[in-house]
Amino acid sequence: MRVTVLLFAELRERAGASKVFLDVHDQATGRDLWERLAEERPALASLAYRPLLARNGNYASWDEPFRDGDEAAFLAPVGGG
Amino acid sequence: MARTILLKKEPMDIKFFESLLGDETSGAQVWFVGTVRKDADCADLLYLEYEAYEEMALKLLHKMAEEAARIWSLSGWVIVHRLGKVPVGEASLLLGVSAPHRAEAFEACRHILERLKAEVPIWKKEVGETGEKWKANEGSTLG
Repeated sequence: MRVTVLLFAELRERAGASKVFLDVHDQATGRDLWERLAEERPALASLAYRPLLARNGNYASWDEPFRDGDEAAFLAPVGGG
Repeated sequence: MARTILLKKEPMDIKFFESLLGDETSGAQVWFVGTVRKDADCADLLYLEYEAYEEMALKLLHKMAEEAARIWSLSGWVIVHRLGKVPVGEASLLLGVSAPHRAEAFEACRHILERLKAEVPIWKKEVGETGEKWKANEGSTLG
């Protein structure tokens, strides 16, 4: 199945992309997505913290399974305001 | 009854947004303006650069405002957050709420502000004369 992964701020700079399409197995979790992402873009693997995860615009746990067509986002610690 | 939530790439006209709140039943409006400042951490700061996961940020801000409205009987709100480059001295965030009485207005404004700073997917980069770095808020979770 295909999942779109959005990256912002520091993660976007490290990955060199703001949007990545991942072809993964059914029921892949956020954890699986991150592992695949970090494999393809090693600058993400050396991140000093574990980013937060969103699924279709809602915070999600790393164990939550994704579905075909979902939009994931990995989020650095926020800095609004 | 104003319920305005915006992410804005250009400087904000604060007077215009202030004119949106206010109605016959609200005795109190509380406004917060966050402006970009130099601090000990970045004494040579030129500007902050803001970036957002816009769809999620707006969704969360609407939810936060509606939840605060139920708790503190808000009649309206205005939340405007800048995106892009904001130089020192300019406003990056405008947050106003209206409620029947002052206690509710103060509480709600503070509550929304603290939640925004902890949860909303907006990031800021400090750009100074000698370099740049992403700066997280103290309350934001690291996962």
